[in-house]
Amino acid sequence: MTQREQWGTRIGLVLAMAGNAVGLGNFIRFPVQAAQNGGGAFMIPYFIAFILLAIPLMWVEWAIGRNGGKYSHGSLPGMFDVMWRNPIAKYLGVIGLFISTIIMIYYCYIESWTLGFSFFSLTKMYFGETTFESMGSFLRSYQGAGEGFFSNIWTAYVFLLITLAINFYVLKRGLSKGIELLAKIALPALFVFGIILAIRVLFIGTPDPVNKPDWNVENGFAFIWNPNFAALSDSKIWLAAAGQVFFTLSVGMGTLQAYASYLKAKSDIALSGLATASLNEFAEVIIGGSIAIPVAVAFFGLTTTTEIAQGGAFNLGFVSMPIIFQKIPFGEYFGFIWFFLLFIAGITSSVAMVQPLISFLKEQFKISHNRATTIIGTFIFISTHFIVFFFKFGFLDELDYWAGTFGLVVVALIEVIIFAWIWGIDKGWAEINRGADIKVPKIFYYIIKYVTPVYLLFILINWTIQEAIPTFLMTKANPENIPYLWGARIFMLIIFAGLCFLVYYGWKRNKPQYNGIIKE
Amino acid sequence: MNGLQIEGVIFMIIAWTIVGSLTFYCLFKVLTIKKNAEEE
Repeated sequence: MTQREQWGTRIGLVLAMAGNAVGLGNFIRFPVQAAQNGGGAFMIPYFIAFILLAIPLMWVEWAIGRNGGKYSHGSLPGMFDVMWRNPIAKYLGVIGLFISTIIMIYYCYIESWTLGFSFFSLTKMYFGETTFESMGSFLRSYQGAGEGFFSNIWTAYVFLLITLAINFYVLKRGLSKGIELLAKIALPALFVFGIILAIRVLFIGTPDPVNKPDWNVENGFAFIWNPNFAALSDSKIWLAAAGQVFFTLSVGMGTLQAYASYLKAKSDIALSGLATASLNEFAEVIIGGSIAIPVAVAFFGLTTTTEIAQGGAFNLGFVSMPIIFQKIPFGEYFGFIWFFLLFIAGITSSVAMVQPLISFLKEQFKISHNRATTIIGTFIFISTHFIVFFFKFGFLDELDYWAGTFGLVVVALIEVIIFAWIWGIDKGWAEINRGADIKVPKIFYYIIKYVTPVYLLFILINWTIQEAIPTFLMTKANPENIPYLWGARIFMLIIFAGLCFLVYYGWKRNKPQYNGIIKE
Repeated sequence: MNGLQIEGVIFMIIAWTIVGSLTFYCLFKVLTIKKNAEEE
């Protein structure tokens, strides 16, 4: 068996894992969700979901990953195959490999927008676009989805190339010298940037006390935190909280498992997993909740902020915030900090999305790290063209729904069932506790076995009825977009089929080494 | 909206305290427990 890479330091591992979890959603999705779903009362189902869903899944994924690493598996097909000696197991694992690959294909494009807008902030390129309409058209013209400041897509394309180049440069350097080093620099920078922005927001106060005394930061915090207890009787709120907790931790895509596979067999996962989850929550609840929504209420008032929030997270991040930066002193620098913070959050997540596929190619086809990275880099580069050029037809949204939303819950449900019911909760519990630096409360034994799977099943059934079926039937789709949406589905099917073939071929030519060689 | 109500402040303080103390506790333990990759 070839020697696998290892993490250099424990704090480097925790920061890389936290970097994987902290994404754009922490800063632009969470505050919107909280404000829309009961304010402070939203935190009740949020923390319940954090305890019953997020922390157990975090430990399950770390345990699956570290166990797979013992058998030189860094991706879900191999990890599931080790835990469930059934021919179907590795194909269930393909879903995880598929999801991280698809998300990477479109996520790096969104990430490139944040890099582009960092540059536009410093150069004051969008300064002068002071209304929602003009700033919206600035964004859409950048994305190639409408008329406006940019006459073509090439500016966005250049920033995409730069983003891809940075991502694959980091990945080429490997685990310790690439991903870990990036995390050690980027994560502290992200927290410093976030705290600077949050403090700046606190001191904004009431921008126009004479004409608009109600438009202030205090009311912004009130919008997020004043509890509406009546909302708790609505199942939609509980579902929204579970969804937010679920997405924010990057569970269900095979990336945490890939990182954990590079741990030694007796390295702690209990404390490190909890540290990862809590760092992510710090970025989300404390920093994420203190920037975009409070400042939007201070400058636009409650009614307009509600409309902005209903318009979605990108509306808040890429349209409202640039307008605000034009209204405050040194706005170009604060704009740069905001978008570069999002870029850091993005890149520390995107490098993680490629890691399962890199591990898979290296381990199953015995090719070098450099070659695996080059092959995947080329594939991602080609695939992103569909996203860039068909963006305005909803291509990205279709991928995001099936892979980045629905698929995550499917993988999480499969993995927790394999972990707790097929492999067995006793083995799983022993794996979580092996080398643990904290004592994991015994109640989590039962939560992982019973509560988490039922919780996930509840979410999956509800989303299938409420969203998946209408999305599949394209009931709300623009008729002009339908051919492109089918194109997106065919594109996903081809990638899924290709990955299934690679797993089939990989297993055929490279018999799993754990059969009779490594015994548990 | 009549400003931040007392319930809002309480929710914010509780949420920040839970998240903040959990984060600092975990980071403190991670940084101080001398069982790192090299020793294992």
